[in-house]
Amino acid sequence: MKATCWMGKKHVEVVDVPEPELLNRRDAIVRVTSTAICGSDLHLLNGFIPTMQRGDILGHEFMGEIVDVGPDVRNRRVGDRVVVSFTIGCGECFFCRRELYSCCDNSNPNAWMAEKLFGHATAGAFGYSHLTGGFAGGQAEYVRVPFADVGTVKIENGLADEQVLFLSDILPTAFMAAENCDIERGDTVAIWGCGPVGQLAIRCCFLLGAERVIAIDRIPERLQMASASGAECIHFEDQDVADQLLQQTGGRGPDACMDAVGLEAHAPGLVHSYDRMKQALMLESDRPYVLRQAILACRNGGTVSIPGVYGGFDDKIPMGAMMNKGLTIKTGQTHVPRYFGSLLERIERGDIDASFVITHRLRLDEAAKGYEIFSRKQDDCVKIVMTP
Amino acid sequence: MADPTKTTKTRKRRRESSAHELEGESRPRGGSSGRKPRKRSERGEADQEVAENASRKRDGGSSRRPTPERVARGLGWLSLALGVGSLLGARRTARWIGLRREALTPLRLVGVREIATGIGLLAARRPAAAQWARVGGDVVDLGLLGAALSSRRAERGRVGALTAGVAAITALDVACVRRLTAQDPDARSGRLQLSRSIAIDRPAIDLYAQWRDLENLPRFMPFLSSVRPTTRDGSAEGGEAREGGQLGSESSMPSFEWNARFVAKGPMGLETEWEAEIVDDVPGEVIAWCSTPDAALEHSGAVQFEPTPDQRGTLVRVEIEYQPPGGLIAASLAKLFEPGPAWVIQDSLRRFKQLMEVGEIVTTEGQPSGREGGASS
Repeated sequence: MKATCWMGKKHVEVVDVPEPELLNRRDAIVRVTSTAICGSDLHLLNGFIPTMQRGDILGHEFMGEIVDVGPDVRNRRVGDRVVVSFTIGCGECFFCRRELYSCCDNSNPNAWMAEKLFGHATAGAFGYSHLTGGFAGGQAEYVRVPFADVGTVKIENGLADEQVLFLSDILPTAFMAAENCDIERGDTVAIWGCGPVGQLAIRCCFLLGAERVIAIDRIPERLQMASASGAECIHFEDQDVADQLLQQTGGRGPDACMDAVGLEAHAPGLVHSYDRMKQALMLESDRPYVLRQAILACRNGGTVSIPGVYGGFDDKIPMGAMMNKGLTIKTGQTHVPRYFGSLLERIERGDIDASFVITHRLRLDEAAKGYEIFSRKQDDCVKIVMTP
Repeated sequence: MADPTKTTKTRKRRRESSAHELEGESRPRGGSSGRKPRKRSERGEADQEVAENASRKRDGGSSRRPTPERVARGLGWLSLALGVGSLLGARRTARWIGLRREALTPLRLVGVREIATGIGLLAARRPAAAQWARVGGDVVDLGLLGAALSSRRAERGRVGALTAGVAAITALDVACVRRLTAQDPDARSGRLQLSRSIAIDRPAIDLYAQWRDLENLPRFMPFLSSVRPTTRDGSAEGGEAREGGQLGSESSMPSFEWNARFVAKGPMGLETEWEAEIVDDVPGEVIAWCSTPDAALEHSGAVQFEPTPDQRGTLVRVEIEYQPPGGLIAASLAKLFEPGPAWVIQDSLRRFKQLMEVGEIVTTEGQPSGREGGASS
């Protein structure tokens, strides 16, 4: 079968690989009908995530039809149409029982590796380096899905792939990030990053009762898309973000700030060079420029929500501001299965249609080109969906 | 679990008290000292002692002579200084003792070694191993200086002065290492101790039952090829459980053997076999074992099952005591590589947890990848 493989830094190739087999008793094999490229895949492409090996199959946003099930899968059958959660949870451990699926204790075969970096291992994930277990990913024709009875949601209502595909990752991510803003009626939320997660987060914030959403980015097409969702926009290269936020909130600052950018932040000027240089010298793993800004901009007693992915140990985080202003920080890899039911209902009701973020539709064997376009943000690219 | 900061008196006391407790039991004790694992109340006392010892160490330096740890740290700084000096001043020193060419490389290598031992002494929590390295280095240095003395070109007087200096430092190093190992009972006895624990969301009695059925062990201890229960004389009969122990009350508990033969896979496909016997067995609480006296690697251990504070799960704690071959020095050096065996135990506990919570161990072995020279499409 064809699969998109990581062949080295900035090098992705679609190669022919064997089809997957059932390996554990609660596995299912899914024939992929749609799969997407995620912003976090770009961190893999650019070599920021350690433990990648040449030949690893990428991709963690996918859906399709079950073609085989293991003997202990209780609630899924061959022929079921499912969307698969990017994070793998066993359903039985301390964390899964509390719906903290992305912290699952039992789904990472390389738990010892993650423990070294994070203090404790977190859940396995598809196509996201050996730190998360090295599971073969979903930008392929077939995928083996462990714990299929926990990490999949059945689609029975005739909705198109594009309407439900993003239940795999970015829609629950945006929704959890919006929930993490602790929005109360009348609140102003500032969102850094108008990529797919940011775009969906804008809509989720309004759904959860925000009065105003301020979106920050530098790409005009993405700011336009944000504006179409009802957000006020700030172009961070043309305007001073901190100053603008103060002006727009009467000097108080936004009630909640969301960092939907993560470790590969762009920043104007000297600070960017500082972080870039430290990254090159391996003195810093991430570029937390947006995080610093969000902490400084947030109003006293406000909340900072961090869906953006970070990997390691970061520099010059304004701890003084965080402590003295009494901020609440809420973050985490998305606990996707927790949101399957409620978000599918919202989609069926018409509250939200996530397909508006799709700008490019490619075939699976054009994946390398897709990564290139997405990475360079060429051609007004926001989200790429591929079909095998 | 023994803590090196405790005084030897305390450990001896505890050993004696366990011995007294066990005297009343009908189970004969084989193999080594077979300590009973500490209960929660004992651990409370132990914590107090740790605190006392820590404050004694802190205050001790001012009125009495400095603790061996302080001396070791001082020697660490001395090592660094000597190392840097030796590296940078190699040429000058070589010229001074008259061996301009021959001494240059050895002096530089000595410098690098000194820097390494210096870092070892300053960075390690337990400096014993690095201190042994210093002693070893001193012996090498004395050897080098002896060779230098025999060379005709050498300035005998100056080499002699250097030798005297190194000899003085050697005396200091040896004294320090003796004090360090004297207060580290593990190093004295040559035994190492490891302890690891994990929380599992299942009742203690279920976990106990899985573990006690020794044939299950290879399912979550990948270094074991097989475990075969045996009867006392070593023959592998299916056999009835022995009388004695407290199994009687659990009528649903299957009868378990008290001895077993273990086969482990070593490196390069070599297999090791040993026999061990259960020396303590409380259903749902503890299983303790000892290797039999003829085992290749003498060891003892225990696994304890305790309810977690929220009463919904179990804390499984494994303690192992073993005698690495090579005795005293090997034990000190092995501590530098301690993550080795401890990692194996932690890995086994993690697998046990998966087995008990989920029913199987999640694997990615056998999944596809683009590594096997796949053709580009």
